[in-house]
Amino acid sequence: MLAIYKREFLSYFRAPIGWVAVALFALISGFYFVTMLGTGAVNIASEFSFLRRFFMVLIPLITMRLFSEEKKNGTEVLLYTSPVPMYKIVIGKYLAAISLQVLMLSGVFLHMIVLIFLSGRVDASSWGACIGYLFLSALFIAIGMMCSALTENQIVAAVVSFVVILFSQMLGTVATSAQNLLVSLLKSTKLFGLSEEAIYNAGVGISNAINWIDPFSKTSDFSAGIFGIVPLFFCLSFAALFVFLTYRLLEKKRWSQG
Amino acid sequence: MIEITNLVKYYGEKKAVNGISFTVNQGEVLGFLGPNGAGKSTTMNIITGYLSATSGSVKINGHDILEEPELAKKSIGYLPELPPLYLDMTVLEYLNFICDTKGVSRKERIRQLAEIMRLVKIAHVSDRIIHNLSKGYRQRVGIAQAMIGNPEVLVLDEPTVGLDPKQIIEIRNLIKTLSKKHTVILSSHILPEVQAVCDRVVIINQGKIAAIDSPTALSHRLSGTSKLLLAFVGPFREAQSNLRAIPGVKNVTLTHEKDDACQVEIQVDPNMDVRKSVFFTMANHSWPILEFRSLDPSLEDIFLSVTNSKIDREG
Repeated sequence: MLAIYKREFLSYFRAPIGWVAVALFALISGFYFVTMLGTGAVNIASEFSFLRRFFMVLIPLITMRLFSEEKKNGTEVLLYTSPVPMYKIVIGKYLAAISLQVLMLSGVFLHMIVLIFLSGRVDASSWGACIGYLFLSALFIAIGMMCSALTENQIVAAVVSFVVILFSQMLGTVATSAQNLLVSLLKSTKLFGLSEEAIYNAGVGISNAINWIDPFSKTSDFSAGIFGIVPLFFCLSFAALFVFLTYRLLEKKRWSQG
Repeated sequence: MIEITNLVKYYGEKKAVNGISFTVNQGEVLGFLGPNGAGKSTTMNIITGYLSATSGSVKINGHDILEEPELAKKSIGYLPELPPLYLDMTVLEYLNFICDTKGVSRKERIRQLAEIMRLVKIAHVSDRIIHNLSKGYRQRVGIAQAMIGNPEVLVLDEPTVGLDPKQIIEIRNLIKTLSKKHTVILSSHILPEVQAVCDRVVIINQGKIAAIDSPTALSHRLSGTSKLLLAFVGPFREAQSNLRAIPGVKNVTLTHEKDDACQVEIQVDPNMDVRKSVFFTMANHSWPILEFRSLDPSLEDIFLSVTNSKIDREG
Protein backbone atom coordinates (compact mmCIF):
# COMPACT_ATOMS: atom_id res chain seq x y z
CA MET A 1 0.00 0.00 0.00
CA LEU A 2 2.87 2.30 0.87
CA ALA A 3 4.34 1.67 -2.59
CA ILE A 4 1.11 2.68 -4.30
CA TYR A 5 0.78 5.74 -2.08
CA LYS A 6 4.34 6.86 -2.66
CA ARG A 7 4.21 6.46 -6.42
CA GLU A 8 0.85 8.19 -6.70
CA PHE A 9 1.85 11.13 -4.57
CA LEU A 10 5.17 11.65 -6.35
CA SER A 11 3.52 11.31 -9.75
CA TYR A 12 1.49 14.45 -9.00
CA PHE A 13 4.76 16.32 -9.20
CA ARG A 14 6.18 14.48 -12.19
CA ALA A 15 3.26 15.76 -14.20
CA PRO A 16 2.32 19.44 -14.10
CA ILE A 17 -1.01 18.62 -12.45
CA GLY A 18 0.30 18.61 -8.87
CA TRP A 19 2.09 21.92 -9.32
CA VAL A 20 -0.94 23.41 -11.02
CA ALA A 21 -3.23 22.35 -8.18
CA VAL A 22 -0.90 23.73 -5.51
CA ALA A 23 -0.33 26.95 -7.46
CA LEU A 24 -4.00 27.47 -8.16
CA PHE A 25 -4.89 26.97 -4.51
CA ALA A 26 -2.13 29.34 -3.42
CA LEU A 27 -3.34 31.90 -5.94
CA ILE A 28 -6.98 31.78 -4.86
CA SER A 29 -6.25 31.78 -1.14
CA GLY A 30 -3.48 34.37 -1.53
CA PHE A 31 -5.78 36.65 -3.48
CA TYR A 32 -8.41 36.50 -0.76
CA PHE A 33 -5.85 36.93 2.01
CA VAL A 34 -4.28 39.99 0.43
CA THR A 35 -7.70 41.54 -0.07
CA MET A 36 -8.44 40.91 3.62
CA LEU A 37 -5.12 42.46 4.61
CA GLY A 38 -6.09 45.52 2.60
CA THR A 39 -9.33 45.96 4.50
CA GLY A 40 -7.62 45.24 7.81
CA ALA A 41 -10.11 42.57 8.88
CA VAL A 42 -8.25 39.29 8.57
CA ASN A 43 -10.44 36.26 9.10
CA ILE A 44 -9.09 32.82 8.24
CA ALA A 45 -12.53 31.25 8.62
CA SER A 46 -13.95 33.45 5.89
CA GLU A 47 -10.94 32.63 3.74
CA PHE A 48 -11.83 28.95 4.07
CA SER A 49 -15.46 29.55 3.24
CA PHE A 50 -14.27 31.45 0.17
CA LEU A 51 -12.04 28.51 -0.77
CA ARG A 52 -14.92 26.07 -0.37
CA ARG A 53 -16.55 27.61 -3.41
CA PHE A 54 -13.66 26.31 -5.51
CA PHE A 55 -14.05 22.68 -4.47
CA MET A 56 -15.65 21.91 -7.81
CA VAL A 57 -12.49 23.01 -9.63
CA LEU A 58 -9.78 21.96 -7.19
CA ILE A 59 -11.05 18.51 -6.29
CA PRO A 60 -11.47 17.19 -9.87
CA LEU A 61 -7.97 18.48 -10.55
CA ILE A 62 -6.66 16.18 -7.82
CA THR A 63 -8.80 13.15 -8.49
CA MET A 64 -9.45 12.97 -12.22
CA ARG A 65 -6.31 11.04 -13.04
CA LEU A 66 -6.30 8.57 -10.16
CA PHE A 67 -7.73 5.60 -12.05
CA SER A 68 -8.47 7.03 -15.50
CA GLU A 69 -4.83 7.42 -16.33
CA GLU A 70 -3.93 3.90 -15.24
CA LYS A 71 -6.68 2.56 -17.42
CA LYS A 72 -5.61 4.60 -20.40
CA ASN A 73 -1.92 3.74 -20.14
CA GLY A 74 -2.57 0.07 -19.54
CA THR A 75 -0.79 0.23 -16.20
CA GLU A 76 -3.89 -0.96 -14.38
CA VAL A 77 -2.97 -4.47 -15.56
CA LEU A 78 0.25 -4.07 -13.63
CA LEU A 79 -1.52 -3.04 -10.44
CA TYR A 80 -4.27 -5.62 -10.57
CA THR A 81 -1.90 -8.50 -11.33
CA SER A 82 0.54 -7.45 -8.62
CA PRO A 83 0.30 -9.17 -5.24
CA VAL A 84 -1.11 -5.95 -3.76
CA PRO A 85 -4.81 -6.52 -2.98
CA MET A 86 -7.30 -4.23 -4.67
CA TYR A 87 -8.48 -2.50 -1.49
CA LYS A 88 -4.94 -1.46 -0.68
CA ILE A 89 -4.54 0.03 -4.16
CA VAL A 90 -7.72 2.07 -3.68
CA ILE A 91 -6.78 3.25 -0.19
CA GLY A 92 -3.21 4.04 -1.21
CA LYS A 93 -4.40 6.24 -4.04
CA TYR A 94 -7.01 7.89 -1.85
CA LEU A 95 -4.44 8.76 0.80
CA ALA A 96 -2.11 10.17 -1.87
CA ALA A 97 -4.87 12.52 -3.03
CA ILE A 98 -5.61 13.53 0.57
CA SER A 99 -1.92 14.24 1.09
CA LEU A 100 -1.85 16.55 -1.90
CA GLN A 101 -4.84 18.40 -0.45
CA VAL A 102 -3.03 18.79 2.86
CA LEU A 103 0.02 20.05 1.03
CA MET A 104 -2.13 22.59 -0.79
CA LEU A 105 -3.45 23.79 2.57
CA SER A 106 0.07 24.67 3.63
CA GLY A 107 -0.43 27.99 1.85
CA VAL A 108 -3.16 28.85 4.30
CA PHE A 109 -0.89 27.85 7.20
CA LEU A 110 1.45 30.56 6.01
CA HIS A 111 -1.44 32.99 6.22
CA MET A 112 -2.07 31.82 9.78
CA ILE A 113 1.55 32.56 10.65
CA VAL A 114 1.15 36.06 9.23
CA LEU A 115 -1.97 36.40 11.33
CA ILE A 116 -0.07 35.40 14.47
CA PHE A 117 2.41 38.18 13.79
CA LEU A 118 -0.39 40.65 13.24
CA SER A 119 -2.78 39.82 16.03
CA GLY A 120 -0.79 37.46 18.17
CA ARG A 121 -3.24 34.55 17.96
CA VAL A 122 -5.20 32.23 15.73
CA ASP A 123 -8.66 31.67 17.17
CA ALA A 124 -10.69 28.49 17.28
CA SER A 125 -12.85 29.48 14.34
CA SER A 126 -9.78 29.39 12.07
CA TRP A 127 -8.85 25.89 13.17
CA GLY A 128 -12.46 24.83 12.98
CA ALA A 129 -12.79 26.11 9.44
CA CYS A 130 -9.56 24.34 8.53
CA ILE A 131 -10.69 21.01 9.97
CA GLY A 132 -14.10 21.41 8.36
CA TYR A 133 -12.42 22.11 5.04
CA LEU A 134 -10.23 19.02 5.35
CA PHE A 135 -13.10 16.69 6.14
CA LEU A 136 -15.20 18.11 3.33
CA SER A 137 -12.36 17.60 0.90
CA ALA A 138 -11.90 14.03 2.20
CA LEU A 139 -15.51 13.42 1.22
CA PHE A 140 -15.25 15.07 -2.19
CA ILE A 141 -11.94 13.41 -3.02
CA ALA A 142 -13.64 10.05 -2.42
CA ILE A 143 -16.41 11.07 -4.81
CA GLY A 144 -13.90 12.32 -7.38
CA MET A 145 -11.93 9.08 -7.12
CA MET A 146 -15.06 7.08 -7.80
CA CYS A 147 -15.75 9.19 -10.88
CA SER A 148 -12.21 8.50 -12.03
CA ALA A 149 -12.75 4.76 -11.67
CA LEU A 150 -15.78 5.02 -13.94
CA THR A 151 -13.99 6.07 -17.10
CA GLU A 152 -10.64 6.04 -18.84
CA ASN A 153 -11.14 9.62 -19.93
CA GLN A 154 -9.78 12.12 -17.43
CA ILE A 155 -11.93 14.93 -18.81
CA VAL A 156 -15.11 12.92 -18.34
CA ALA A 157 -14.02 12.02 -14.81
CA ALA A 158 -13.34 15.68 -14.06
CA VAL A 159 -16.65 16.87 -15.50
CA VAL A 160 -18.70 14.27 -13.64
CA SER A 161 -17.09 15.11 -10.30
CA PHE A 162 -17.46 18.83 -11.08
CA VAL A 163 -21.19 18.36 -11.58
CA VAL A 164 -21.60 16.24 -8.44
CA ILE A 165 -19.76 18.77 -6.28
CA LEU A 166 -21.61 21.68 -7.85
CA PHE A 167 -24.91 19.95 -7.13
CA SER A 168 -23.95 19.29 -3.52
CA GLN A 169 -23.07 22.96 -3.14
CA MET A 170 -26.54 23.87 -4.32
CA LEU A 171 -28.29 21.44 -1.97
CA GLY A 172 -29.41 24.32 0.28
CA THR A 173 -31.18 25.99 -2.62
CA VAL A 174 -32.51 22.66 -3.81
CA ALA A 175 -33.98 22.03 -0.36
CA THR A 176 -35.84 25.36 -0.31
CA SER A 177 -37.24 24.98 -3.81
CA ALA A 178 -38.24 21.37 -3.12
CA GLN A 179 -40.10 22.59 -0.05
CA ASN A 180 -41.93 25.32 -2.00
CA LEU A 181 -42.72 22.96 -4.82
CA LEU A 182 -44.17 20.29 -2.55
CA VAL A 183 -46.24 22.77 -0.56
CA SER A 184 -47.74 24.45 -3.61
CA LEU A 185 -48.35 21.09 -5.26
CA LEU A 186 -50.21 19.69 -2.25
CA LYS A 187 -52.20 22.93 -1.82
CA SER A 188 -53.33 23.19 -5.42
CA THR A 189 -54.19 19.52 -5.99
CA LYS A 190 -55.66 18.95 -2.52
CA LEU A 191 -54.17 15.49 -2.73
CA PHE A 192 -54.72 13.28 0.38
CA GLY A 193 -56.95 16.08 1.79
CA LEU A 194 -54.24 17.33 4.14
CA SER A 195 -54.66 20.28 6.48
CA GLU A 196 -52.62 23.48 6.05
CA GLU A 197 -50.38 22.55 8.93
CA ALA A 198 -49.75 19.04 7.65
CA ILE A 199 -48.82 20.40 4.25
CA TYR A 200 -46.45 22.87 5.85
CA ASN A 201 -44.89 20.11 7.93
CA ALA A 202 -44.45 17.90 4.87
CA GLY A 203 -42.63 20.77 3.14
CA VAL A 204 -40.34 21.32 6.09
CA GLY A 205 -39.77 17.59 6.26
CA ILE A 206 -38.51 17.29 2.73
CA SER A 207 -36.38 20.38 3.12
CA ASN A 208 -34.83 18.94 6.28
CA ALA A 209 -34.23 15.62 4.55
CA ILE A 210 -32.32 17.27 1.72
CA ASN A 211 -30.45 19.53 4.10
CA TRP A 212 -29.44 16.52 6.11
CA ILE A 213 -27.26 15.25 3.26
CA ASP A 214 -25.82 18.72 2.58
CA PRO A 215 -22.19 18.44 3.68
CA PHE A 216 -21.67 22.20 3.55
CA SER A 217 -24.36 23.16 6.02
CA LYS A 218 -23.32 20.20 8.19
CA THR A 219 -19.85 21.62 8.67
CA SER A 220 -20.79 25.32 8.76
CA ASP A 221 -20.67 25.39 12.58
CA PHE A 222 -16.96 24.69 12.42
CA SER A 223 -16.29 28.15 11.02
CA ALA A 224 -17.86 29.57 14.15
CA GLY A 225 -15.44 27.57 16.23
CA ILE A 226 -18.06 25.04 17.32
CA PHE A 227 -16.79 21.48 17.01
CA GLY A 228 -19.15 18.57 16.69
CA ILE A 229 -18.57 14.89 16.25
CA VAL A 230 -21.64 14.41 14.02
CA PRO A 231 -20.38 16.40 11.00
CA LEU A 232 -16.99 14.68 11.15
CA PHE A 233 -18.65 11.30 11.37
CA PHE A 234 -20.94 12.30 8.52
CA CYS A 235 -18.05 13.28 6.22
CA LEU A 236 -15.93 10.26 7.13
CA SER A 237 -18.72 7.75 6.68
CA PHE A 238 -19.69 9.18 3.30
CA ALA A 239 -16.02 9.25 2.28
CA ALA A 240 -15.71 5.61 3.35
CA LEU A 241 -18.83 4.78 1.37
CA PHE A 242 -17.41 6.26 -1.83
CA VAL A 243 -14.01 4.65 -1.31
CA PHE A 244 -15.82 1.36 -0.90
CA LEU A 245 -17.89 2.01 -4.04
CA THR A 246 -14.67 2.69 -5.97
CA TYR A 247 -13.33 -0.63 -4.80
CA ARG A 248 -16.51 -2.43 -5.82
CA LEU A 249 -16.53 -0.71 -9.23
CA LEU A 250 -13.01 -1.88 -9.97
CA GLU A 251 -13.76 -5.41 -8.76
CA LYS A 252 -16.89 -5.48 -10.86
CA LYS A 253 -14.93 -4.60 -13.97
CA ARG A 254 -12.88 -7.75 -13.63
CA TRP A 255 -16.02 -9.83 -13.59
CA SER A 256 -17.91 -7.92 -16.22
CA GLN A 257 -18.75 -9.61 -19.45
CA GLY A 258 -19.46 -6.52 -21.49
CA MET B 1 2.81 -25.93 -11.98
CA ILE B 2 -0.08 -24.28 -13.79
CA GLU B 3 -3.39 -26.04 -13.97
CA ILE B 4 -6.14 -24.58 -16.10
CA THR B 5 -9.48 -26.29 -16.04
CA ASN B 6 -12.42 -25.62 -18.27
CA LEU B 7 -11.99 -21.88 -18.58
CA VAL B 8 -14.96 -19.97 -20.00
CA LYS B 9 -15.25 -16.22 -20.46
CA TYR B 10 -18.22 -14.48 -21.97
CA TYR B 11 -18.14 -10.99 -23.43
CA GLY B 12 -21.82 -10.26 -23.75
CA GLU B 13 -23.20 -12.95 -26.01
CA LYS B 14 -19.79 -13.87 -27.36
CA LYS B 15 -17.80 -16.66 -25.84
CA ALA B 16 -14.26 -15.26 -25.98
CA VAL B 17 -12.85 -18.33 -24.24
CA ASN B 18 -14.72 -21.56 -24.55
CA GLY B 19 -13.74 -24.39 -22.24
CA ILE B 20 -9.95 -24.24 -22.33
CA SER B 21 -8.06 -26.76 -20.20
CA PHE B 22 -4.36 -27.50 -20.11
CA THR B 23 -1.47 -27.86 -17.72
CA VAL B 24 2.01 -26.45 -17.85
CA ASN B 25 4.82 -28.37 -16.18
CA GLN B 26 7.71 -26.90 -14.28
CA GLY B 27 10.47 -25.52 -16.46
CA GLU B 28 8.44 -25.82 -19.62
CA VAL B 29 8.04 -23.17 -22.31
CA LEU B 30 4.50 -23.25 -23.56
CA GLY B 31 3.58 -21.41 -26.72
CA PHE B 32 0.16 -19.96 -27.22
CA LEU B 33 -0.56 -19.70 -30.88
CA GLY B 34 -3.60 -18.26 -32.56
CA PRO B 35 -4.82 -15.56 -34.91
CA ASN B 36 -5.80 -12.15 -33.59
CA GLY B 37 -8.96 -12.33 -31.54
CA ALA B 38 -8.63 -16.04 -30.85
CA GLY B 39 -8.75 -15.50 -27.10
CA LYS B 40 -5.02 -15.61 -26.34
CA SER B 41 -4.88 -12.35 -24.42
CA THR B 42 -8.13 -13.01 -22.60
CA THR B 43 -6.83 -16.39 -21.43
CA MET B 44 -3.58 -14.85 -20.28
CA ASN B 45 -5.43 -12.07 -18.49
CA ILE B 46 -7.44 -14.71 -16.65
CA ILE B 47 -4.36 -16.77 -15.76
CA THR B 48 -2.70 -13.71 -14.25
CA GLY B 49 -5.80 -12.64 -12.34
CA TYR B 50 -6.47 -9.41 -14.23
CA LEU B 51 -9.82 -10.69 -15.42
CA SER B 52 -12.07 -13.23 -13.80
CA ALA B 53 -13.38 -16.17 -15.75
CA THR B 54 -17.09 -16.77 -16.12
CA SER B 55 -16.40 -20.34 -15.03
CA GLY B 56 -13.47 -22.68 -14.66
CA SER B 57 -10.39 -22.45 -12.48
CA VAL B 58 -6.74 -21.47 -12.67
CA LYS B 59 -4.24 -22.88 -10.20
CA ILE B 60 -0.69 -21.62 -9.96
CA ASN B 61 1.57 -23.79 -7.82
CA GLY B 62 -1.57 -25.20 -6.22
CA HIS B 63 -2.94 -21.73 -5.34
CA ASP B 64 -6.25 -20.80 -6.92
CA ILE B 65 -6.03 -17.35 -8.52
CA LEU B 66 -9.40 -16.34 -7.05
CA GLU B 67 -9.18 -17.97 -3.64
CA GLU B 68 -5.57 -17.15 -2.81
CA PRO B 69 -4.85 -14.30 -5.20
CA GLU B 70 -1.85 -12.89 -3.34
CA LEU B 71 0.03 -16.19 -3.19
CA ALA B 72 -0.84 -17.04 -6.78
CA LYS B 73 0.08 -13.59 -8.09
CA LYS B 74 3.39 -13.67 -6.26
CA SER B 75 4.49 -16.60 -8.40
CA ILE B 76 3.58 -14.91 -11.69
CA GLY B 77 5.39 -12.25 -13.66
CA TYR B 78 3.21 -10.84 -16.42
CA LEU B 79 4.04 -8.85 -19.51
CA PRO B 80 0.74 -7.79 -21.08
CA GLU B 81 0.33 -7.00 -24.75
CA LEU B 82 0.98 -3.34 -24.04
CA PRO B 83 3.92 -3.05 -21.62
CA PRO B 84 2.44 -1.48 -18.47
CA LEU B 85 4.91 1.34 -17.96
CA TYR B 86 4.64 4.60 -16.10
CA LEU B 87 6.08 6.81 -18.79
CA ASP B 88 6.93 9.67 -16.44
CA MET B 89 9.30 7.57 -14.31
CA THR B 90 12.89 6.64 -14.96
CA VAL B 91 13.64 2.97 -15.56
CA LEU B 92 15.19 2.58 -12.13
CA GLU B 93 12.36 4.38 -10.33
CA TYR B 94 9.88 2.19 -12.14
CA LEU B 95 11.65 -1.06 -11.33
CA ASN B 96 12.00 0.03 -7.71
CA PHE B 97 8.27 0.63 -7.60
CA ILE B 98 7.67 -2.89 -8.91
CA CYS B 99 10.01 -4.22 -6.21
CA ASP B 100 7.88 -2.38 -3.66
CA THR B 101 4.63 -3.87 -4.91
CA LYS B 102 6.10 -7.35 -5.04
CA GLY B 103 7.66 -6.99 -1.62
CA VAL B 104 11.29 -7.49 -2.60
CA SER B 105 13.49 -6.64 0.39
CA ARG B 106 15.98 -3.77 0.16
CA LYS B 107 18.96 -6.08 0.44
CA GLU B 108 17.74 -8.49 -2.20
CA ARG B 109 16.72 -5.64 -4.49
CA ILE B 110 20.17 -4.36 -5.42
CA ARG B 111 21.37 -7.80 -6.41
CA GLN B 112 18.21 -8.68 -8.28
CA LEU B 113 17.90 -5.41 -10.19
CA ALA B 114 21.53 -5.57 -11.26
CA GLU B 115 21.11 -9.11 -12.54
CA ILE B 116 17.85 -8.41 -14.38
CA MET B 117 19.14 -5.23 -15.98
CA ARG B 118 22.23 -7.05 -17.14
CA LEU B 119 20.13 -9.88 -18.57
CA VAL B 120 17.72 -7.69 -20.54
CA LYS B 121 20.45 -5.15 -21.33
CA ILE B 122 18.88 -2.01 -19.96
CA ALA B 123 21.54 -1.07 -17.40
CA HIS B 124 22.80 1.79 -19.55
CA VAL B 125 19.35 3.40 -19.82
CA SER B 126 18.42 2.98 -16.15
CA ASP B 127 18.44 6.73 -15.48
CA ARG B 128 16.38 7.69 -18.48
CA ILE B 129 12.72 8.52 -18.41
CA ILE B 130 10.73 5.68 -19.94
CA HIS B 131 8.83 8.10 -22.14
CA ASN B 132 12.05 8.79 -24.05
CA LEU B 133 12.88 5.14 -24.70
CA SER B 134 12.32 3.37 -28.00
CA LYS B 135 9.76 0.63 -28.36
CA GLY B 136 12.37 -2.12 -28.11
CA TYR B 137 13.71 -0.76 -24.84
CA ARG B 138 10.23 -0.27 -23.45
CA GLN B 139 9.51 -3.90 -24.23
CA ARG B 140 12.64 -4.91 -22.36
CA VAL B 141 11.71 -2.81 -19.37
CA GLY B 142 8.36 -4.62 -19.51
CA ILE B 143 10.13 -7.98 -19.43
CA ALA B 144 12.39 -6.79 -16.60
CA GLN B 145 9.28 -5.81 -14.67
CA ALA B 146 7.86 -9.32 -15.07
CA MET B 147 11.09 -10.89 -13.82
CA ILE B 148 11.25 -8.92 -10.59
CA GLY B 149 10.58 -10.95 -7.47
CA ASN B 150 11.90 -14.03 -9.23
CA PRO B 151 8.47 -15.53 -10.01
CA GLU B 152 8.33 -19.20 -10.97
CA VAL B 153 6.03 -18.46 -13.89
CA LEU B 154 6.47 -15.85 -16.59
CA VAL B 155 3.48 -15.00 -18.77
CA LEU B 156 4.50 -13.03 -21.84
CA ASP B 157 1.82 -11.77 -24.22
CA GLU B 158 3.32 -11.29 -27.68
CA PRO B 159 6.73 -10.26 -26.38
CA THR B 160 8.23 -9.59 -29.80
CA VAL B 161 5.42 -7.70 -31.48
CA GLY B 162 6.48 -4.39 -32.99
CA LEU B 163 10.20 -5.01 -32.62
CA ASP B 164 12.78 -4.95 -35.38
CA PRO B 165 14.30 -8.27 -36.53
CA LYS B 166 17.47 -7.86 -34.51
CA GLN B 167 15.54 -7.13 -31.36
CA ILE B 168 13.24 -10.07 -32.04
CA ILE B 169 16.21 -12.41 -32.10
CA GLU B 170 17.56 -10.88 -28.90
CA ILE B 171 14.25 -11.25 -27.11
CA ARG B 172 13.95 -14.85 -28.29
CA ASN B 173 17.39 -15.63 -26.95
CA LEU B 174 16.43 -13.93 -23.72
CA ILE B 175 13.34 -16.11 -23.42
CA LYS B 176 15.48 -19.18 -23.99
CA THR B 177 17.78 -18.07 -21.19
CA LEU B 178 14.84 -17.38 -18.92
CA SER B 179 13.36 -20.81 -19.55
CA LYS B 180 16.24 -22.37 -17.67
CA LYS B 181 14.96 -20.93 -14.40
CA HIS B 182 11.33 -20.15 -15.07
CA THR B 183 8.22 -21.75 -16.45
CA VAL B 184 7.19 -19.61 -19.40
CA ILE B 185 3.87 -19.16 -21.16
CA LEU B 186 4.19 -17.03 -24.26
CA SER B 187 1.73 -16.07 -26.91
CA SER B 188 2.34 -15.24 -30.50
CA HIS B 189 0.71 -15.28 -33.85
CA ILE B 190 4.01 -15.99 -35.57
CA LEU B 191 4.69 -19.68 -36.10
CA PRO B 192 8.51 -19.70 -36.45
CA GLU B 193 8.79 -17.77 -33.22
CA VAL B 194 6.88 -20.39 -31.31
CA GLN B 195 8.80 -23.15 -33.04
CA ALA B 196 12.08 -21.52 -32.08
CA VAL B 197 11.54 -21.34 -28.33
CA CYS B 198 8.69 -23.56 -27.20
CA ASP B 199 8.62 -27.09 -25.84
CA ARG B 200 4.92 -27.38 -26.38
CA VAL B 201 2.39 -25.44 -28.38
CA VAL B 202 -1.28 -24.77 -27.68
CA ILE B 203 -3.13 -23.72 -30.78
CA ILE B 204 -6.22 -21.76 -29.99
CA ASN B 205 -8.89 -20.65 -32.41
CA GLN B 206 -12.21 -18.97 -31.70
CA GLY B 207 -11.77 -19.49 -27.98
CA LYS B 208 -11.18 -23.21 -28.25
CA ILE B 209 -8.06 -25.32 -28.19
CA ALA B 210 -7.48 -26.67 -31.67
CA ALA B 211 -4.37 -28.67 -30.80
CA ILE B 212 -1.77 -29.19 -28.09
CA ASP B 213 1.50 -30.70 -29.19
CA SER B 214 5.23 -30.22 -29.50
CA PRO B 215 6.35 -28.05 -32.43
CA THR B 216 7.96 -31.01 -34.19
CA ALA B 217 4.81 -33.09 -33.89
CA LEU B 218 2.83 -30.19 -35.27
CA SER B 219 5.01 -29.81 -38.30
CA HIS B 220 4.80 -33.55 -38.73
CA ARG B 221 1.06 -33.22 -38.81
CA LEU B 222 1.54 -30.64 -41.48
CA SER B 223 3.64 -32.98 -43.53
CA GLY B 224 0.68 -33.72 -45.77
CA THR B 225 0.80 -30.21 -47.15
CA SER B 226 4.41 -29.51 -48.17
CA LYS B 227 4.61 -26.88 -50.85
CA LEU B 228 7.20 -25.45 -53.22
CA LEU B 229 7.08 -22.12 -54.96
CA LEU B 230 8.45 -21.91 -58.47
CA ALA B 231 8.71 -18.94 -60.82
CA PHE B 232 9.89 -19.39 -64.39
CA VAL B 233 9.66 -18.04 -67.93
CA GLY B 234 7.61 -20.33 -70.14
CA PRO B 235 4.10 -21.57 -71.02
CA PHE B 236 2.07 -22.54 -67.96
CA ARG B 237 -0.06 -25.36 -69.42
CA GLU B 238 2.86 -27.24 -70.88
CA ALA B 239 4.95 -26.81 -67.75
CA GLN B 240 2.07 -27.95 -65.58
CA SER B 241 1.66 -31.24 -67.41
CA ASN B 242 5.42 -31.82 -67.41
CA LEU B 243 5.72 -31.11 -63.70
CA ARG B 244 2.78 -33.34 -62.87
CA ALA B 245 4.58 -36.18 -64.58
CA ILE B 246 7.33 -36.06 -61.95
CA PRO B 247 6.80 -38.75 -59.30
CA GLY B 248 6.01 -37.14 -55.92
CA VAL B 249 4.29 -34.05 -57.34
CA LYS B 250 0.64 -33.99 -56.33
CA ASN B 251 -0.64 -30.82 -57.88
CA VAL B 252 0.52 -27.67 -59.65
CA THR B 253 -1.46 -24.45 -59.44
CA LEU B 254 -0.87 -21.06 -61.00
CA THR B 255 -0.64 -18.27 -58.46
CA HIS B 256 0.62 -15.38 -60.56
CA GLU B 257 1.25 -14.61 -64.21
CA LYS B 258 3.00 -11.60 -65.69
CA ASP B 259 4.04 -11.22 -69.35
CA ASP B 260 5.62 -14.58 -70.15
CA ALA B 261 6.63 -15.41 -66.58
CA CYS B 262 4.57 -17.70 -64.35
CA GLN B 263 4.59 -18.35 -60.64
CA VAL B 264 3.22 -21.71 -59.53
CA GLU B 265 2.71 -23.56 -56.30
CA ILE B 266 3.68 -27.20 -56.34
CA GLN B 267 2.15 -29.54 -53.78
CA VAL B 268 4.51 -32.40 -53.14
CA ASP B 269 4.73 -35.61 -51.21
CA PRO B 270 6.91 -34.68 -48.21
CA ASN B 271 8.56 -38.08 -48.18
CA MET B 272 10.14 -37.49 -51.58
CA ASP B 273 12.58 -34.78 -52.59
CA VAL B 274 11.42 -33.64 -56.03
CA ARG B 275 13.61 -30.53 -56.27
CA LYS B 276 16.26 -32.07 -58.53
CA SER B 277 13.68 -33.50 -60.92
CA VAL B 278 11.90 -30.17 -61.09
CA PHE B 279 15.15 -28.43 -61.95
CA PHE B 280 16.06 -30.84 -64.74
CA THR B 281 12.53 -30.77 -66.19
CA MET B 282 12.71 -27.00 -66.46
CA ALA B 283 16.27 -27.14 -67.81
CA ASN B 284 15.39 -29.68 -70.48
CA HIS B 285 12.68 -27.40 -71.83
CA SER B 286 14.93 -24.31 -71.54
CA TRP B 287 12.47 -22.61 -69.21
CA PRO B 288 14.66 -20.34 -67.07
CA ILE B 289 13.94 -20.57 -63.33
CA LEU B 290 13.54 -17.14 -61.70
CA GLU B 291 12.73 -18.28 -58.19
CA PHE B 292 12.56 -21.64 -56.47
CA ARG B 293 11.97 -22.23 -52.77
CA SER B 294 9.94 -24.24 -50.32
CA LEU B 295 6.98 -22.50 -48.73
CA ASP B 296 6.87 -22.43 -44.93
CA PRO B 297 3.55 -23.58 -43.64
CA SER B 298 1.61 -20.55 -42.50
CA LEU B 299 -0.56 -20.34 -39.45
CA GLU B 300 -3.52 -20.66 -41.75
CA ASP B 301 -2.16 -23.95 -43.06
CA ILE B 302 -1.84 -25.20 -39.52
CA PHE B 303 -5.39 -24.26 -38.69
CA LEU B 304 -6.63 -25.82 -41.87
CA SER B 305 -4.70 -28.98 -41.25
CA VAL B 306 -5.60 -29.16 -37.58
CA THR B 307 -9.28 -28.55 -38.19
CA ASN B 308 -9.32 -30.83 -41.22
CA SER B 309 -7.65 -33.67 -39.40
CA LYS B 310 -10.22 -33.25 -36.66
CA ILE B 311 -13.00 -33.62 -39.16
CA ASP B 312 -11.20 -36.67 -40.57
CA ARG B 313 -10.99 -38.26 -37.16
CA GLU B 314 -14.54 -37.44 -36.24
CA GLY B 315 -15.89 -38.42 -39.64
